[in-house]
Amino acid sequence: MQARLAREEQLRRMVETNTQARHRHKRLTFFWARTGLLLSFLLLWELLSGRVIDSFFISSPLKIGASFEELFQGGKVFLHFATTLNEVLLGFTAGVLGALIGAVLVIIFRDAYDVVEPFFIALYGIPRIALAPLLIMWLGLGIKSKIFLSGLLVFFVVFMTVVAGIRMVDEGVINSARLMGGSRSQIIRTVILPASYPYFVAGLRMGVPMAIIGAIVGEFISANRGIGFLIQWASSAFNTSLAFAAIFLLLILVVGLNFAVNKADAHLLKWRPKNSEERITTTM
Amino acid sequence: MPPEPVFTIKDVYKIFYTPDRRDQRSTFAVRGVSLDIYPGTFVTFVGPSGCGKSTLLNMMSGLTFPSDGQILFRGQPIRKTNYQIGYITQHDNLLPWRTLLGNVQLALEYRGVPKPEREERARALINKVGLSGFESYYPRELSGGMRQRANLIRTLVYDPEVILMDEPFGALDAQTRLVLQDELLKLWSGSGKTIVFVTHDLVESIALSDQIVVFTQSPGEIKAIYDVPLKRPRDVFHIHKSEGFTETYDRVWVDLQQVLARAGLVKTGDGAAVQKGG
Repeated sequence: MQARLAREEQLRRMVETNTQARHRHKRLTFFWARTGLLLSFLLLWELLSGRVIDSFFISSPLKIGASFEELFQGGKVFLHFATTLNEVLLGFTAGVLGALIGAVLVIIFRDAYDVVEPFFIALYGIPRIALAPLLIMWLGLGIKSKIFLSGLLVFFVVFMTVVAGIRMVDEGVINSARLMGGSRSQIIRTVILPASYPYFVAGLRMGVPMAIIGAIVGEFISANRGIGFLIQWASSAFNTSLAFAAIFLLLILVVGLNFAVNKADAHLLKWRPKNSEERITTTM
Repeated sequence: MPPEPVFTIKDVYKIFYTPDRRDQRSTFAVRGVSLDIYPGTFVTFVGPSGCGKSTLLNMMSGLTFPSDGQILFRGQPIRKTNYQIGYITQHDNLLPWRTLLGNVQLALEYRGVPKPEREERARALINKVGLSGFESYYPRELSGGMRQRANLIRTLVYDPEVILMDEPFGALDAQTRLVLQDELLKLWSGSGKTIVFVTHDLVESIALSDQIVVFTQSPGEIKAIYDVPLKRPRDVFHIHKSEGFTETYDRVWVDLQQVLARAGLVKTGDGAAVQKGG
């Protein structure tokens, strides 16, 4: 009996260590594969530039690095970065809040929404960016027009996704909550909104690039600061390296915002089965 | 003088019609059903799928309303969602983002019961059905049997006097189903609650109920009503050995067999050798 228990314990530990090792190995392989891919891309770029393709058009990683450094030395970079970040964050927040309020209104006034939905879909169909020049005319050259454009883009994508989520909520669950004595507002709060969380988070994810597009496009059209302005200005001065450096700056912004959304996701959806967890249990 | 019925079902019809679907005629889900259900009794509805049993429960709970006829709850016609009953379905409808404890408390939360009291009442029931230790688990982390137990107690927690159950154990494996039938009987006995339980399992129906109502395949009429003479408390695990079981089974089966035969589910003849529907 003792011997058997010991044997089983040993077996269990063996399976556990093997599985862990396999996962570690996989993670490490992926990490190096990605690093390798990135480095070879940069290397290829560096080699092609000036040899096969005129470096005037594509610059080169080293030149971009130098431009990036220059950008930081002047200190101006912080102004540009902060301007765009400000527009993006405010636009994103406003868009998301608007979408949430809109979603709650849709739940309450369902029939009214069904009436206006075709108009909404039509609006959704026209590229909102086409409104940018008008917005600038209405709201001025300052940061307000960029925030509004950014918020508009975010609003639509989050709103449409959340409404789709609300439509998907299981009628049986709502009925069961009704029978348990839930009032309308209680059911919205305890059933419908939480049930649409996954859609909300998906909307947030799609909203991040939208917020940035709104701010950048607004800056393209008219601005005297911001990353979009920087890209525009560098391009018009035929300074390809600086344009790429500014795009790299944008990349930092995107990565940061995605990180924040991932954090929110993990917090909001802790009840959802975690993929990695389930995969570990099923592989053995 | 007999007690006043909890439910009085008077010549009820329910017609379903979906105008969106082309070439779709309206169908009778329930046709001319009349039935009295008395307080404290355990009644089962038996019949093949699509015989209007669930529709009848939906009307008794006020989720839908009869096309004609009337359903009275304690003498009053049902005009809106019937909050005085509990309704348990096969699909457990637990909220996946709430823990077991959170799910069991939900109805008390809706009723404005203060937090300490609702936690206490939820925990007491969780203990009673052997789920203690799982309070902080999410539904996805519980087995089918545990989820159905949770489903049961989230309704019992607000202590409704009438409970409608729509094939609550239908999706469970045979052993778990027996265990839950046993637990249900223990929870029910002495409580004075009225239970209306839909199933298509005749053995389950005999094991649990005082009265069996046999329904026919659409047009959804009542074929016959039987009293179950088995003594209580009952041993669901050996119900087939109970006195009166075989007689009851054979009597009801004759009717049920005809119903199933008309629905094309069994051949008439050697009843005992034929599989029951569902």
